Amino acid sequence: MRFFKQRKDVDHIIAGCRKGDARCQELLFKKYASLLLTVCRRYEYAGFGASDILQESFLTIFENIHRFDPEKGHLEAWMRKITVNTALKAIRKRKISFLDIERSHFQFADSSSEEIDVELISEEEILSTLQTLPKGYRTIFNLFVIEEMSHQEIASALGITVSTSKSQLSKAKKMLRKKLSVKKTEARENNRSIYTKNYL
Amino acid sequence: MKDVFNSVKEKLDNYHSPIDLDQEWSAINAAQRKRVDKKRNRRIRFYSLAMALTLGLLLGLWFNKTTEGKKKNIDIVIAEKASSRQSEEIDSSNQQIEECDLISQQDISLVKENDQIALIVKEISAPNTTEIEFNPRHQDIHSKEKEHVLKEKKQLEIKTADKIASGQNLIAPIPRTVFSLALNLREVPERFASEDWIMTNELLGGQLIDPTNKDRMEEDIVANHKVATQFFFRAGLGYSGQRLRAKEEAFAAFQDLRATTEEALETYRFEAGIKKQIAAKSSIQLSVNYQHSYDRIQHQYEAPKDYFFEDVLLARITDVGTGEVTERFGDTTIVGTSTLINTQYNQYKSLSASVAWGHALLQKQNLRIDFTGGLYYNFWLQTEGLVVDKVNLDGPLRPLDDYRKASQFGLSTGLDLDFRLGNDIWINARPVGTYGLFSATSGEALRSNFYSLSFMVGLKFTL
Repeated sequence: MRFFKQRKDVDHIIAGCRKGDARCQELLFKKYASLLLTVCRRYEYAGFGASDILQESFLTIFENIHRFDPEKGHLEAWMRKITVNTALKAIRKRKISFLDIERSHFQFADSSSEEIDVELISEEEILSTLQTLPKGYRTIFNLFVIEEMSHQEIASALGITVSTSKSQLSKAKKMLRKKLSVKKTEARENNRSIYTKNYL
Repeated sequence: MKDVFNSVKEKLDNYHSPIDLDQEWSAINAAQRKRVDKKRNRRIRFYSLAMALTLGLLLGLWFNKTTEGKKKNIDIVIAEKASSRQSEEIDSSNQQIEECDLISQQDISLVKENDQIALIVKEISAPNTTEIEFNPRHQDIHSKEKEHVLKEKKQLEIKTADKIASGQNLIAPIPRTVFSLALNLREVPERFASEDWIMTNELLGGQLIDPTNKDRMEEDIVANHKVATQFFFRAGLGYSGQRLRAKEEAFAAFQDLRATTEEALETYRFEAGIKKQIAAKSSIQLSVNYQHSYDRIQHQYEAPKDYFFEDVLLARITDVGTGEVTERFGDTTIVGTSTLINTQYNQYKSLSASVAWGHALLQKQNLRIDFTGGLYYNFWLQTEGLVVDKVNLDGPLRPLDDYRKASQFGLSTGLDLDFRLGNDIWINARPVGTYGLFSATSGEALRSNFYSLSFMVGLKFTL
């Protein structure tokens, strides 16, 4: 029942947004802003912050809400896609380099055997770790792992080759894995110290 | 254990980042208002430009109409150019009299007094003859009255006796003389007395030896709008003319016609209509057009012109023995040819209804290109002509009904380019060509198909 009520509410909001009703637009924004902000934070960089991406995305959503067809998909997925596209547009505009970063000083230590329990790491820590990746690695990681795009689609969207996409992804994963394992160790140390403090 | 990256995805997909909703919403609100204002300003600028353009076109039309009647491009045509030597003689009346001896001093002064153009004397091949080509511009020159005037003044004196060598046949052949007489600009046929635009019930017909206009067809591409129905209006400039052709047997009927040239001049078009989508890539357009166009036609005719003179001095016969001089008078006919040139400006106004089918060639979010082809029907026509040089209209004249038939039905084709300005408004650019299906004298020897080419700009609105 609750689901249908929620569905009806969303339909009402969409209908209002189509008519340009500012109140419905505000409701839509407040309902999905925090979720979409997470998406924006994954793509932000120095020249174009998460807030800018979010603002631009919602302006595009309001202008194109009449094109959304509920029969063809879910509103959240549609809005997420617009947000990702807005971020990619900004990346293309600023001509971020996706060439292999041979100059990287990061040592790609082989940590593939190490198990990482992501549950111990908070979302904020994951996001902040992701933001430490070079822009090129981060973008391709986001598009492949989180947006679930194929290498072909990524290559087309970013104007790079498929092989560049694959190699960047591989390096992104290695780098992220290493950084997350460090985070995991820190998290375990924190838990131990809390336990020690509380119980010893 | 789950793949680490899948876990990362799951965690991030459902994570709600902390956010100051009110602050962010204020920023978005402000940005939205700014964007709307920018769009509104852009629309205002565009509408202003469109209105200025339309006003400019209308003013141009009005100026053209008011000044056209005042234009007086008099083409004085002499069929063949005089030689430079002869031209010098024209300037000196003494020499003129001596040389051609055809017109008295009195007559020359009369010519000048009446604001006529001076004579041109042309020398033709035969060394002992001087021939001047008579080029009347006025049909009255052939009237009895004029001939009578000439006779009265005894303008012709043919001193053939001076050219007869002694001992030869005293009845020398009369030199053939053809002379040019300037046009008296004030004496024009009554129907062209007014210098303003006048309504004519006839159009000059003519026959082209060679076609002067090439066929040009352009395809229109009409933007295929995804919305159901759109309203549009547009205006444009171009040129229009007639494609003139003739069958061989026509030459027999119009032997005197040397050449006809037709020059396409400017055209103004205004159009309003609706466009309806009927399939994914197909649409249909219904519209009403107003077209105002001009052209210029020039015909050159050659016609025999015989001049009959009564009781003029034919010869002086000198008796070598006695020295007695006898003058012989009689009637004579001078056979000549004349070249008549008529230049006429025509203007045509028409209101037509048209229907066109459109096929989308390109469909993008902000750009559409369609091809259109269709038919038009002129349900109202008006034509006016201004004769510029007031030449004898001895050519075959085309009845208005015939012109109506030629202009009534035709094909139109072109491109429609639509650029999106907003959700419901598009800028439209349209090159378009029309071609009359029937000729002005269909079934007969002459063919004249009306055509036009123009470029139009306008707006489309979604209904």
